[in-house]
Amino acid sequence: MIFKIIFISIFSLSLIWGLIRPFSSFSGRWFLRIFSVVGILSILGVDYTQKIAEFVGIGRGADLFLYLSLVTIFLFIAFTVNRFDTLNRKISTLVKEIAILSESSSYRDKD
Amino acid sequence: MFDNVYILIPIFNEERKIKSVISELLPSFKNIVAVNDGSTDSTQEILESLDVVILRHSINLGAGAAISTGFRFIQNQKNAQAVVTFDADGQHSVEDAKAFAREILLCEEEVIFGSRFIKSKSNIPTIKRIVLSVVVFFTNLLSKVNLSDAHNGLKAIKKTALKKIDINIDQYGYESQIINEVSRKGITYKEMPTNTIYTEYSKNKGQKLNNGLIILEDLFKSRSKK
Repeated sequence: MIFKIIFISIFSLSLIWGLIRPFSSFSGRWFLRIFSVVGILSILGVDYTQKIAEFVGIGRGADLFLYLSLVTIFLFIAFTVNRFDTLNRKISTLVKEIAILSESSSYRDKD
Repeated sequence: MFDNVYILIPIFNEERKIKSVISELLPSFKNIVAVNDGSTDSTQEILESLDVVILRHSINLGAGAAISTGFRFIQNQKNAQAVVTFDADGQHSVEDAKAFAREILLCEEEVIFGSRFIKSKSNIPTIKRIVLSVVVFFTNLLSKVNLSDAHNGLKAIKKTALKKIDINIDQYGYESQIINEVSRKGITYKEMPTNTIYTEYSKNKGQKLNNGLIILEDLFKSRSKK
């Protein structure tokens, strides 16, 4: 019982995070919401996830949860890598700009 | 003495060679731009003792970023007509740099790529030659160019072409990106032979062979960043 409470708390918090998080990507936010709701449902009663799985054409509720988990993980990795790339580009631009600005002035001083 | 052809040297931790490399260039080239790409050894102090323009990256970004910084700086120099890129590890000869500088001022082409495969093939270590051939094959195939060498640090570029070439790959793959930009933007080019000097030092400092795979990855990236 204690584990059910712990997991429901975790999924509830992730659902709240998915609802209020202002800077998250649109798709990432929705996956977090759906993932959390399905997580809560799978703990409260297997029947609920089973019905959703049947509705979307997946055999078992556990499979639905597994698929959603995998997609969420891959999306998270993809978004994280993309963010790192963006951050690297920004740092690179900044470093180049500083190099030109600082050394251009000392170069002019030499003349 | 060339005063309107700039020499651009990307540098990372070259305290052992940089002084001799620049000292050999100074009698022939008035304007040398040294981009210190976040060196952690005494490279910066050595550069400060020499009569060169120093552009300093506060952190190490990669050779592509250093070249990109240098290109941007030289574009804004009124007297610059062209730039010759030159490796800091002593692989290139000053005579080749002078030949490139003379030719870029005279020829119609906007870019001159250096090639190790036109003149002295035997000079290149065998494994390196094989890896370079693979990289050249894919570069020619993907960028629709006809080059015999794809990753030679010695090249000459007219100022007019500098403005057209946009480099956003920070590591070694920038060479492929330059070729890709030349092809895509219809910049005219030709090749000239270079005499690369492979010493134990330059072999250790130069591109590692497994960088070939990274370069190919960057080549695909540069095509996707059109």
